[in-house]
Amino acid sequence: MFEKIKIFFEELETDSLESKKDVLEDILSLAKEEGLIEIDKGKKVDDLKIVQTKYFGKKGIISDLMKYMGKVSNKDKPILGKIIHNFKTTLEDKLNQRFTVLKKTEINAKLETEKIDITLPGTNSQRGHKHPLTLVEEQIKEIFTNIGFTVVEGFEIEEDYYNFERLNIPKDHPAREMQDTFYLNEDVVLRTHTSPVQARIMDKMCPQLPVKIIAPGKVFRRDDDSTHSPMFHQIEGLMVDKNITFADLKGVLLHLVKSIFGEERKIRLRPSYFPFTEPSAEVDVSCGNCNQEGCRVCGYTGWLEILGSGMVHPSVLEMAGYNSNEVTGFAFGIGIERIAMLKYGIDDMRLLFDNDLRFLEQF
Amino acid sequence: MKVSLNWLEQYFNEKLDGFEIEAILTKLGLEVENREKLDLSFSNVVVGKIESLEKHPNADKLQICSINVGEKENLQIVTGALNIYVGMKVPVALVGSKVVGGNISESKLRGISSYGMLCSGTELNMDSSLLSDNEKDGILPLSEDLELGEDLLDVFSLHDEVLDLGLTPNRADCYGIYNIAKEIILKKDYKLKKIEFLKGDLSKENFKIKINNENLCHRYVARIVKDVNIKPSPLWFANLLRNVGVRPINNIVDITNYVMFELGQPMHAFDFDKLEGSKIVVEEAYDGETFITLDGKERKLDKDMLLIKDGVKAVALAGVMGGYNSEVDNNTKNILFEAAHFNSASIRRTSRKLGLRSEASGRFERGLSEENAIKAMDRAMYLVELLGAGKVEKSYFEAYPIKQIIPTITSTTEKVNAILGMNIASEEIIKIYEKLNFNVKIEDDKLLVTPEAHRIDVKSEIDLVEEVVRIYGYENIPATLPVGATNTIKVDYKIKLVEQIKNYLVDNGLNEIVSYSFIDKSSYEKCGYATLADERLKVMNPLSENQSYMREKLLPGIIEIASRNYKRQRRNIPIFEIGRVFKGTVNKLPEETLKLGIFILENEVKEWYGKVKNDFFTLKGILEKLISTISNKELKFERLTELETLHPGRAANIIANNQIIGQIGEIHPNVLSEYDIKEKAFYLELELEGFDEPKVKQYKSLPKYPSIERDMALIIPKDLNYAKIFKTISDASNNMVVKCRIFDIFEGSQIEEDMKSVAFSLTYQDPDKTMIDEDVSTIHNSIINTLVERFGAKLR
Ligand SMILES: [Zn+2]
Repeated sequence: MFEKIKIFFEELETDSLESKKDVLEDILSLAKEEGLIEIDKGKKVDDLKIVQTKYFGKKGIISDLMKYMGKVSNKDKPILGKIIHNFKTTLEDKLNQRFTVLKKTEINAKLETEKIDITLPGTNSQRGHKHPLTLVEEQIKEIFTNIGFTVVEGFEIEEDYYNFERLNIPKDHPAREMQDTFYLNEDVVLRTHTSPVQARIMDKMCPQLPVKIIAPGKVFRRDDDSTHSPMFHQIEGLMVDKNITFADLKGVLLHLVKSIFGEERKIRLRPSYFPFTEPSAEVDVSCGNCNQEGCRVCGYTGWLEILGSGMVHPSVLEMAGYNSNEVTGFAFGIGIERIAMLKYGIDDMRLLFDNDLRFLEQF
Repeated sequence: MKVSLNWLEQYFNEKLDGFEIEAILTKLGLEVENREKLDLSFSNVVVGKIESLEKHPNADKLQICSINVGEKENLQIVTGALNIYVGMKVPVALVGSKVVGGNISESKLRGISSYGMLCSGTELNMDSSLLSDNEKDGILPLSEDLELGEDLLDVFSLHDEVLDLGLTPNRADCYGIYNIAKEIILKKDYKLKKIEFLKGDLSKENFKIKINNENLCHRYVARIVKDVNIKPSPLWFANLLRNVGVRPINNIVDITNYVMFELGQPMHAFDFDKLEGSKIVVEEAYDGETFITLDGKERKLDKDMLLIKDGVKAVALAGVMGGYNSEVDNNTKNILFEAAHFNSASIRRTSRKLGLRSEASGRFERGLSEENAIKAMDRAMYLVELLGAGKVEKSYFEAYPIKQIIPTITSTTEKVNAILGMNIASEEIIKIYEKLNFNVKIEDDKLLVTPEAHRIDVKSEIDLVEEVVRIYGYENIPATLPVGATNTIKVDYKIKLVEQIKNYLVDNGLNEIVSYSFIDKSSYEKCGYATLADERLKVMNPLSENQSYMREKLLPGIIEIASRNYKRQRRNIPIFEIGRVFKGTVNKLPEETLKLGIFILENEVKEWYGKVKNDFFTLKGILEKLISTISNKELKFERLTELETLHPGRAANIIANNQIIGQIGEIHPNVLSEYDIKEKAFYLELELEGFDEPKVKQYKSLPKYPSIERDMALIIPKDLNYAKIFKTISDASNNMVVKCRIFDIFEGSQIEEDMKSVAFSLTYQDPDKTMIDEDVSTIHNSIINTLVERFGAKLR
């Protein structure tokens, strides 16, 4: 080709390119075809770079062609320029196109080699677990704080006076038999229930109204078997105000049970006895395991006992300084272990205190 | 308290249904813990008579009996029993019958066919406490007057159902089955039959009753029965007792037990001829006095215990158990029956101290009405005549120094409804009182209500409210939500704090545990806390030694649990506990302090992405992030060497606001080995008191000028710590260094002994202008000079 071009320009007379351009175009068109084929042949970016250099490099074909620009007459310059430009852009476009395709292919090929096993576990993905008793306690606290109760706490080691006497259980009262008590000394006990908080908070608040608290915490009784633990957890609830009724107690407990166990569950109040409430009620929730058909879980009764409750006994109010003719109240005590066992289907209370991580990690 | 339906049915003209009775009692607040049909444990067992006995030809220990069970032909039964004889009446389990232990079928014993089995009491499901000594071993001897072939279920009246009640302390009256019958008619329209009494005249002649301490004995009633004929009670009477769990003994003792189960009033029968002084004296024992109770045991008494004396000697431990010396026996001719009212607290203390509990003491402890005593006596006398047990004297003796006061309670319908949140009509309320057999008087809008004598639990208006709603039905209470003013109690920040901390720790991979608040004294020593175990925190009556001290530290509980998991091959043990610890004080109550304990095991593992393990700094990082999450406190750490709990070179006090708030460190290898943990573990215990709600942070404007980073590599003395270096750098830079990141620490052979190589990246920033390289270099060099001068550092 170069020979042909060289000869073409040697033979070219001044200002005659216009008439001879067909010949030049024919020569270049052949070169163009050749170039396009070369570009297509390149299978890698590097191949293509060689082709690029051949045509567009400092010593490349285009640059060679450009040399003739200086050799032709001023009149022929634009004509030659156009012809070279045409030749150049066609190859350039093709080259760029081909570069894009090859680069993409090459990146894809590279990324293909960087493949990882996306099913491998993430690093440091381990989370911890709250104890199921905490989960239940937090849920109950939330239910009550949402309806205006305040969370307070009492002492775990308590005076006999608050644990018993202020709750209408003087020394020698037969009700002391209901709860076997741990003593530190004659006047100090490990609290057997969260109920002393009732007296403590009323002492603090009287004569203000309303008193509307719940008090979670540890309690202790001398009992140890598959259904009793010497230490367990309760949540005490107390509401004292003018015009608080037994019906209000039932309403609040119904709300509690439905919030924990679901809307479809029912409650049953049974008369019972606690020295510090009267009337008193044991509260049962309908068995969710058998839909009250009767099963092993509910002892074939359709009901599960979950808490004790009642109207605050007038003398408990009086001892705190409230006038029991003007003020009434209700109180309840929920066993957190009991709720946790029912909620999560735990069949042995000891699991809650064994703290086997295989157990704890399930919550 | 066991209640048999057969017994209850005596008071009604109806057949009772166990399921229904259970439902009624439950609704009334008498909890039924168990209901049991008695005729399910055996079947097809009949009365038979042994007509002949011969030795088994092939076995020394077996005999072949010919038994008449009222059929044409006798049954041949092979038995190994020893206590049998010709003419004896025995329970015979026929072929095809069921007894405790299995079904009976025809069998061959050493070649001889046997068509049935002779039964022991156990095989008929009789509790051994219901059997006398000669009934306990071998075949159960039956009464001679039983008809041959009679079904044993009929003989023992076992077509019965027994309810086991868990009575609350306020309803001691329901330890009498007749009072339970009174409860049933509150919910069921049955007619209650009146029971019969044999009343007497009050005598003041020849026999005296003297009560020395009236507070301990409000009433004592005695009546004499002469010419008694001690023999077994008739079967129907004995069966009633057996079905409620009482072993029949003889007619006189059975009558006292029967009355106790019917009316709740314990009674006692003395052999009158064994009383010497012709009087009854109720008085306290003296310290050290001894007395033999009728179980034959000698009891050591003290001055708080009440005795019944006959003027010469003690004859009974009042309300608890009779005396051996005045026991009724087969030769007894005359009886003195006792029905009394004793102080419940005194009886409880006595029975506690002696460890002697009886059906009687259990009832006295819970409290009885004084009026009950005379009723019980009259009922017992009626039964004596009914059973033909003796001649009842016309008159009775009594001391009744403190009369029962039956209150008249004023109440209004309005008040009752105000407490219940209901709208029960006055008429309805009055009807309820009438059903209860309470006396009602109407005065204007007030009701004056007098309860029945045995209802000593009804003392005030609130007790009436309870009665009304109990009988009206708890199921009829509406469910409402309280209305009223909002609460103004401020929430203790600690409560929020704990929830926040738990959330943080759980998010960071730690698991919450809950351990017991009481621990073993020896665990302090195991944990290296040699000086702990305050005697003021010792439980007087622990369940066991390992739960006898209230904890002063969380570690013993936590490490115990860690160890338990470790023994289960667990190696990943990141756990924490938040709970209270205690400190004995001069005050009544110990101090309670909320603490957090975190335990992690080194747990070096190869993961697919490399080796990972925990160390001191893992735990320190958890702590630092925690503190900055919950407060604005700045933490400082000071080396702690004197503790035996933590590694002396790897432990620190955690300090905030110049106060030690906890410890952090690697657990001492000695402690770990006590708990069989064979790798490193790290622990921190932090006090959670004193974390007040952090002040709201105020925004600081962002730095206006760029910062510049420069590295620095130095050789410094080994024991020069990071905190000190940073302080020096910060001071020397005139606070132009805002961050000092340590990125390499190196010790080893290439470095002089006692020295280490440290590399820092310092971030310089001037709040007022853009720093140029020259400025930075000047400060950087002056820092280096300071470090060189002060600590002998060398540039690397
Ligand atoms: Zn069920």
